[in-house]
Formats: sequence, C-alpha cells, structure tokens
Amino acid sequence: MNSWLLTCFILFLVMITKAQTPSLFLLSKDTTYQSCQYMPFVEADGFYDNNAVDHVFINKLYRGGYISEGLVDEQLNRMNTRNRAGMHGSLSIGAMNFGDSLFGQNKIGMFIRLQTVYDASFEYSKDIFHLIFRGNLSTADQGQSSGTVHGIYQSYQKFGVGFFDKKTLSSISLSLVAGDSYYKSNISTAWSTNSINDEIAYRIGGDFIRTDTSKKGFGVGNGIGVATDIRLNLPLTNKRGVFSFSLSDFGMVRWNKQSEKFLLNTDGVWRGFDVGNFFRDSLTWVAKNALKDSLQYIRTTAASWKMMASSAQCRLNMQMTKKGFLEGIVCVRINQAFRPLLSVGWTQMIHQHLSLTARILHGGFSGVKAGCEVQWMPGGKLFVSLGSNHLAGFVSRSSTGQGVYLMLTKMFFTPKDHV
Amino acid sequence: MIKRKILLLLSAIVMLTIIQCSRREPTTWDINAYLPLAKGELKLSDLIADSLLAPGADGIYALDFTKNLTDFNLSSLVKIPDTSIRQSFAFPLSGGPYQIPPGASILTLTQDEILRLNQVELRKIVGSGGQLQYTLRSYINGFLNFNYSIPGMSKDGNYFQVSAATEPGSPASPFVYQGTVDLAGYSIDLTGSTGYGFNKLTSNLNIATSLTSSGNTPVYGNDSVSVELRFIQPEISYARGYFGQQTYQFDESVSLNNGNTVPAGSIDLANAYCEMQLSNYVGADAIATLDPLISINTLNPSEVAMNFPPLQNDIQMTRAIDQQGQVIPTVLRYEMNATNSNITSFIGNLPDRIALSGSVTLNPLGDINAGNDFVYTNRTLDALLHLSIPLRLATNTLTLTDTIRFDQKEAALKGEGNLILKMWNKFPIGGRLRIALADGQYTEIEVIENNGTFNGSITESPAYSEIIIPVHKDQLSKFVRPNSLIIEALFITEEYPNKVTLNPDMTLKFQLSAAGKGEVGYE
Repeated sequence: MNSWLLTCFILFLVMITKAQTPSLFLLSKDTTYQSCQYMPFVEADGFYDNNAVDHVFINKLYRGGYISEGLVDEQLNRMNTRNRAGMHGSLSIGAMNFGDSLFGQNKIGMFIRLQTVYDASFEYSKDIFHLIFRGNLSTADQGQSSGTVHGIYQSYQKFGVGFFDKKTLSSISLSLVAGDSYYKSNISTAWSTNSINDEIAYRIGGDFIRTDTSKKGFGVGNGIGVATDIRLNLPLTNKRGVFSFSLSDFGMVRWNKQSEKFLLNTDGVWRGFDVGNFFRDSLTWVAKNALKDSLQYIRTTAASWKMMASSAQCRLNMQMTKKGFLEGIVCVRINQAFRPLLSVGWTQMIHQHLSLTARILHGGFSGVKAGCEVQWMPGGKLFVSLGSNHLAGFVSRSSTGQGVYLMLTKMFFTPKDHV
Repeated sequence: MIKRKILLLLSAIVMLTIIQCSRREPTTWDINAYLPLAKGELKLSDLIADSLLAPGADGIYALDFTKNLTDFNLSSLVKIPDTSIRQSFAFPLSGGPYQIPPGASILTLTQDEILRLNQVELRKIVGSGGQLQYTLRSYINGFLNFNYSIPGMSKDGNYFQVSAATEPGSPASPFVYQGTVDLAGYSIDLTGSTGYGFNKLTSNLNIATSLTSSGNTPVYGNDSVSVELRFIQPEISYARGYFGQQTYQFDESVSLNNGNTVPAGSIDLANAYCEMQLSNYVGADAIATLDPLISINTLNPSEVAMNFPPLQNDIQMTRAIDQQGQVIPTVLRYEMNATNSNITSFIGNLPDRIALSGSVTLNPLGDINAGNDFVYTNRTLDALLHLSIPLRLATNTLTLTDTIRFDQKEAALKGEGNLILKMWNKFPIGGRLRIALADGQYTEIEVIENNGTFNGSITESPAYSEIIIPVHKDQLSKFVRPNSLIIEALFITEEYPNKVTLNPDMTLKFQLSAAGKGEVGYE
C-alpha cells in the first residue's frame, strides 16, 4: 500500500510541476530569459561507457586497426567475471513558447520536441571476451568456461508536445514514438575445450529478438509507441538551491508483427565436420550441413511491446557559498547492465551568466569517473552548455568511456521585453 | 562576434565528431585457438561399394565384379525397314460399261507380295511394336463390298482382315478407306501361298457390288481397285528363317567402379581370377573373334591387355535350341588365373574400365539349318565378365590421392600453427602421408608435409598415430582459389612383403584438429 501511495505522490508532483533545464537557468539570479517569446533549442548527448575496455580498444573496434595481444590482456586484467557496457546517443530539436498563456495560465507555456535516440547496453562475461579475443587454446583442458551475453539495442524517433512552467522550467510531455529497430539477446553459454579428446563441448540457451529486418535505417517505422518525459524542478527554500527530478523516455513501443524471436536450446560436442567418406562427398556440402545441424532453435514472429530506454534522475543543487553550489545526482535506468549512477559535484557561478561544474561520478556502466560542465548565457540571449561525464576519455588512453553533451538555446525577445 | 565564435566552436565540434566517427581500416586481432576441424571413419565399403564385396569360400572377402561386357543387339539382324506394298486389281474385261447387278462378285484374288529384306530370308516373325497402315482405293463408279485379308497374319487366333462398303469413285477422285493396326503381338507367316517360301505375304481380295444398290453398277474394262500396306517402324520380338552369313563388329567399354574411387598404384594380387562367359541365345551358329580384354585405369592412365590364348583364337559358338519358346543357349566359359594368363598385372593395374572389341560372324557355313535360324530379340549373344579379387594383398606402393579445391577468393584465416591428425587404424596397412599445395592446374607449388607416418595394426586393437603438420603463415595465405590441397597417402602393408587380409570390419578413424594463432576480424 505504501508503494502505491508513494507512486501516487510522485505522479501528483509530476502533474503539478512544470519544467527543468540546465542548472544555470535555475541557479542564476538573471531570470530575464523567462520573459522571452520563444526559446528554440538543440540538444545532443552521446557517450559510451563500460567497466573494463579502454578507449584505445574501443577506438580500434569502431574505427579499425590491429588489436595486439598486449592490448587484449590489458582489458582482461581490468575485467570482472561479469562486465557491462553501454552507449547512448540522442539529438533533439525543439522550441519552448514563453510568450503565450495556456488556458489562461500565464505561468505555463507549451513546447515541442523532435528527438532521435540510439541506445545500447550489454552485459557479458570475461570468459566470452577471452574466447572472442584470445581464443580457446590457453584454456583448453582447464574445465568449463561459461558466459552470458545480455544486450539491448534500440533506436527510435520521438515527436513530443508538452507543457512547462515558465518560472521553474518543470515540464511534462507526451510523445509519439516511431521505432527503427530493436535487438535483444539473453543468451547463456558454456563450453569446454578438450584437446586430448579433440572436442569442444558447448551449450547455448536463451533467446534473441530482432525487429523487422526488411526495413533498416532512420525513420523506417518498424514500431509505434508512446512515451512521456517529465522534468520537475523544485526550488529549495530561500532560493538556496533546487531539487530536480526527471523521467526520460518512459514508454513502450509496439514492434510490428515481422519481429522475430529465436529460442535457442542447443548443446552438443563438436568434433569437427564429419567427412567420413571424403573421397566421395564435397567438403563444402558436408561443412554446410554440419553447421546447419549444430545449431538448434525455434523461430517465431509476432508483434510485441517493448520498454524504451527509460531513465530517471534526481539532482540536488544546494548553495554552500555565495557562488558555490554542491551538486548531487542519482540516476537509474531500467537496464540490466546499468548500475545506479551516483555523482557529487561542485558548481561555481563565475558570474550570473557563466557557471562551471566539476563532478565525480560512480556507477552506470563503469566505476569512478570525472565530469565537468560549462554553462554560458552570453548577454542573456543565448545559452550554451557543454559538458562531459567522461573527462578521462579526452585525456587518457586507458579510460573506459567517452562522452559529451551539448545544448544550444537562443532566446527571442520582443524589443520592449529586452531592455 | 560572440555568435561567430560559438559557430566556430560548434563547427569544430562537428568536424571532430565526424573525424572521430569515421572508420579507417578493418579491425583485426589474433586468437590462439584449438579447433577440431574434421573427423571421419573410413571403412572398406567407403572405397569399395558393399555390392562389390562378397565373402569367398575361405572366408576371405573378395572384390567381386560381374559385368556384361557386351550385348550384341542382334535384333538388327532381322529388322524390317519401313516398307510399302501396293497392290492394284483391275477388272478383267475391256470395254463396257458392263451392268453388274447388286450382290454380284466382280473380283476374287489370292496374291503373294514380297517383303524386300537384305540377306535375310524370313519365314515367320512376331511383332513387338510398330504399325501396319492399310489404304483401300476404289475407282469404280458404284457401291461395292470390299473384303481384304491376310490369313498368315494373326493375333490371338484371329487373322487380319478389312471389310469396307465403298462409295462410287472415279479415276480422278477415287473413294479412299484407311486404317491402322498395332503390330505388337501379331504373328506373321512369310512363307507365301506355297507354304515353303520366304519374305512373302499372302493376301486375299474379294470385291462385290453392294446388295443395297438401287440398280446395276456400270463397270468399265479399265476400272480398278488398289490396296496399299505400309509397315511403319515395325519391331520384332521373334524371327525364324535364314539370317544370312553376316559379320558384326563391336567395341565396348564398361565401368567397374560405380562411382567409387579406385586407388592409384598397383597391388600384388594373389588368387585373383577372371571368368569370361560367352552365351549364344540365337538359333544360328556363330564364330566370335575377340581382341584381348583391356584393363583400363583412367585415374592413373594405363592399360594392360589380357594375355589368354584361348580367347584370342576363333571361338565357335553353336546354335541355341528352342524348346517351345524356352531357349537353351550355348555357353562357353573361360577362366583366367595366374597360371594361364597375365591376370596379376591385368587386375594389378586396378582398372576402373574394361574394354572388349572384336567381331561375330553368323552362319559361317551358310544355311545349314534349312532356313530354321531363330532369334528372340530380347537376348541374343552376351559376354559376361566375372572378376574376383581376394582382399589379400601386399603392397608398398598403393597410393590414395584426394584433392581439395579452395572455394574462397581470399584467405579465410591468416595465421600459423599446427594441423594435428590423429588416427586409429584397424587396417593392417600403415603408410606415409604427403600434403602439398597445388595451383589451379594441380601443379605442386609447395610441400606442406612430406613424411607423416602412420601405423597399421596386425591385432584387433587399432594402431594410434599422431601427425603434427606445421602450417606457416605464408602457406596458409595460399589456401585460396584457385589453389588446391593434394593429399596423398602411400600405403604399406604391415610385414610387407607378406600378404595381409582385409575384411569389412576394419576401419580407419581419424580426426583433424588445428591449433595455432589466427587472425580474425571484420571490415
């Protein structure tokens, strides 16, 4: 019962709250922007992160190049039994309308947002990584290795319409979602190599889902869904800071009936292609049939609803000095590979149009990392925010993540408003 | 100014992002892998089809071939070509018109027609196919009853006859009546009206005016009727008569292996034998003159001729006997063995084909059976070869060769390591393995393994051997099209030169694995 009450309370808060924007808008004493007519914006956010594989390695996976054995060993030395990785990319454009009132409420404005999202996360075992990048020779005759590969990749576009509070920038929006693609694997494997008996025993179980592969790329519309985004900003008493809560991409997509699901349940012992009568049979024929027979699965096609890449975040900015604010962030995602992300930072207001933030983060797809952000509102007519929560990715080859986020906003005033 | 700086900054970020995201080259890395590649079990039946393996009286399995080297198609002896016989019957008076009342006979005739057949004098034939097409023409201006029959041509007790009511015709536009008869099953007497002739077909014709005519039929002296018989692609299952003194050439070659790979090399074969059985199912004497049997090895091109004098002389084959449709042939058997022929080298050549050529002369002494030669065309003369090779051998030169062509254009795997071949051999045959890379023309370009030794077993337990074949990086890079891998196994029987016995329970199990470093990646 208590959980229902809590849920209702949160929903109530969500309904009465309005908007959220970068902290400079909320912490700066200059609130001139609230009197602008329109505020179009562009937001971009991209990162990849994992707990073990460094920037050099990922760079070679993505951009190409030879991965040396030494480099693989470095990754293995950092790995845990189970490891996590993720990436996210999104680009939004939209506009907030400050000029008009809504249903007579002068404090509430409307906004629209177009967004495209690419999101992936993986959880994999060290054994799987070792098998792929080092092979099985060194573990031959050493018993069973096992591994799991849990992964989700999805991409979609959102078209959202919402309301926001002109003072706090709290907002709520409802979006129509057009899905591009969705892949999900939940596969567990086990294998052992026996060089004495010349056999590899293996077991593969689990399922693999993929959406319609006949249409690929941006905007193909393999699925359709709805989502809500909520941003709630609550100023602290005496304006000594602000508490923010956000819920992003909370919704589901119904992927079309060409979506495929493969149920895998295979175990066996591989002793090589059976070429008993290689004087008579074509080796190619034998190999093809042996491979075909070695993997057993059941394939079904059906439409299905899937959760989007939802995340929830709480942020507290609390004034500690005249121009300094302590920042604390907790972020969670509905994702097996993502651990709660905790962040502690400091925001220094250089002046009312410029702030710098430095933060230490822990969790997510990796461990400890550093971040920083600069927010600049030149002349109170533009807003630029540039930041990264993976600073090491720009300076250290051994960092395990990299990312940057950017927001650009222009405030349009009527001549009499902006004096 | 500020805007310009911001634009510059954004442009720089976009450019950096594009550069950062661009893919420069394939991603590659090395793995150290152990992978079982292939396994199998070779049995005797993989080399020799089960149908060719037969246990001998002494319990030793033998490679057993029985092939009909040639089947002389002597149905051509008595073949009747497409033939037409046209008979015209004229009214035996001149002038006219003569008024013939209804129902009066105009013409009654019995006539022999001669079938033109080369060198063959047939007294009787039985058809098995083809057609007889008959055409009756009337040039008489009146309604006639037309009866035509061939009493010697019968089927199921009924002789061939055609009855037709003709309508008025004229020289310019005769009345025509046509039909066809299937010849299958018809027995045709060709002795003619005398009963002792040959190639003669006797027919009866009767023509009368129609009883239903309204008045007399005017007939002129030059009025006539005609009958035309056409034999269309006639086929014969039986013939009797004199088939003439004819000589037939033949040159036949048959395959022995039914798709099995026959090992190259030569084996020392003990107790092999070969039997040739010549059978004459024709009721006519014949003389066969045979060229030597030829053992042909097409894989390792070589030929060996059988040296067996009895087959090189003229072979007299007396006529078969026909006992009320059951033919008792004349059979001649010739057994070739190591003491009376060169069968050792003949079979030691490991033929996959055997060729036989020669000629057969029928009735070398002429018509000494008074025209009573006979032939059932489904079986005439044949030469059956029975080859039996006991699977006891001693060899130090038997070689098995197989070629594997690479399919892919580019090397599937870059790297180096070892191929590990493990064998569990129950055959009493060991040997050496040789593996070479060859180009598109199967010319060797590099030897990968020259002397991989494996053991044979002289007990019931398999002999274990392990051959480790190092494959270097540059060698592996040549595992591409159009190159191929030639695998050659030289077999040496245990305790050579003593002979060993093979049986179908013997197996050679093998497993090929690879261990080494290989480059993998993606574009």
